[in-house]
Amino acid sequence: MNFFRFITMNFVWLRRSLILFPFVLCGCQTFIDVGDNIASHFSSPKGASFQIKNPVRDSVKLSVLWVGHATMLIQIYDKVIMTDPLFTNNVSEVLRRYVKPGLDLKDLNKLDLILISHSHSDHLSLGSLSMMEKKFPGCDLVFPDGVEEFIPDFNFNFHRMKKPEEEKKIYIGETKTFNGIKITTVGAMHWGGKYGIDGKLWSNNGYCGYIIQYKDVTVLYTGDTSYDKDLYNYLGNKYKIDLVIVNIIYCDCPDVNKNRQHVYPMGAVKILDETKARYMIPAHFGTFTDPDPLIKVLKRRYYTNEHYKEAIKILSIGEQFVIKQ
Amino acid sequence: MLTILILNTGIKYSNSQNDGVNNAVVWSTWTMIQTIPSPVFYQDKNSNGSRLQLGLRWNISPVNYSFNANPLVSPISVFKVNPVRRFGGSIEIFSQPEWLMNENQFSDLKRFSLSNGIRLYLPAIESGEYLAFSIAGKYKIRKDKSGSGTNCFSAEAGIYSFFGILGIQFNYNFESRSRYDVGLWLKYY
Repeated sequence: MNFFRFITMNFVWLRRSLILFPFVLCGCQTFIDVGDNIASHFSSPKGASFQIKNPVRDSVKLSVLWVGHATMLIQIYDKVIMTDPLFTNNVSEVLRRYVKPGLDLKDLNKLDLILISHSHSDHLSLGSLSMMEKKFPGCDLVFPDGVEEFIPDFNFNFHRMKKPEEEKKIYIGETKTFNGIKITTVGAMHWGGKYGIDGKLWSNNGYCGYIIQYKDVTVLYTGDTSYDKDLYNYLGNKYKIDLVIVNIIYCDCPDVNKNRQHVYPMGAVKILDETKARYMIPAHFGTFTDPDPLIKVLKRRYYTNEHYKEAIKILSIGEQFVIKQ
Repeated sequence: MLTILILNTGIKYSNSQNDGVNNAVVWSTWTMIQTIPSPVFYQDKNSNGSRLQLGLRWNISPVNYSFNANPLVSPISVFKVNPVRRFGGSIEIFSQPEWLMNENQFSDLKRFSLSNGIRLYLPAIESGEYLAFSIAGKYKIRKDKSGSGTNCFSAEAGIYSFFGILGIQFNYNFESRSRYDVGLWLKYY
């Protein structure tokens, strides 16, 4: 154990004091990890558990590859979509990746759509978008209204979409079709902005979830959200959801919500129940800290009956869940 | 500052479709943030000696033009400049009031000065959020203790990190009594 790892593992006050700066900058509660993961700044990220060389497959009805954090590569038949791409080693300069991305962009030869759920730095990574711009120039980039404030002039097709008004119980923003993929912005319980005050005080509310529909498949990507019974009950009644991807905040606890901005793992189960989705995949954890112990806890918490064992797919970074045609 | 607040409460500052933005809150909080000064070390010099003199500097940019703004937003920002637009590559007009913490001991320059100039930002890493540079030219208006003008030109170079919140600026002044100054850049929006 090196000196830095010893210090950061043993002095809680030091770890927690490091939270403040990125929290002010970016706000997202994920940055609570920053103090805990400071030791990893002095080492390279470790390899992902899986590294698939051909992530886009033939004869697939639905596949999801967890690249890490909130980055999911979703294939629905012949269409390929990526959520909140994060491929850089650092977020906000101070949050260091513990595990390498579970996908090498060199291995990805097709991408139809990029979805950005909101503008916090772990979801709107300018360095990652720069990488993707080189690989997929002119790709469609979809984001909720407000996020455009924080995106430079990349070589993408920018698509700003109206966001829902959750406070008025209007859970659907708008629907647009890109390359045959039907995208609908749906409600989320989070907050926007990029540098702290813009989201907290200046009312930049650029955040949402997405319903992704192509042929007979419907996927709900919640984005960062807390659990809201009315919202997810509404979506469950309106759509026949095959898969819901839920961004969680890791916690070995029975609690559902964290500050009405995030769900804890058990909140994701509530979203699964309410949306009546066939499958649920938790994301947004274990990228800036070691994911293996977290996955063990999630399995213990989630796999309490046969239904959940079948419905909840806990992926390792780089692992792909596939439903064939 | 009050003038800025009054002038801007009515300005729609982006093309966003977002409703519910309270411009009074936005501009009043932004104005308050701008009152936070950046510490600067100035040279205080004459033929008898030289020393460093601590001072404070504020920076206001009335107009910024970003050449890296996406098609959905205006490239022109007035006073309140989004960091991604400023440090992603832009050019701006700026004004810098400066105030020395103590009277000069060697030079006979007064404590207050006002610099106006034009600055170019160039992004280096992560669209300038992680690392950006700037160069600027400015004209410093200042008087000596006899009340005579001692105005001069200055050249400035800067380096910025942490979303442009933190930086260092170095100035070369074409004025022998205070040739160099170096200071932090602390600016949030």
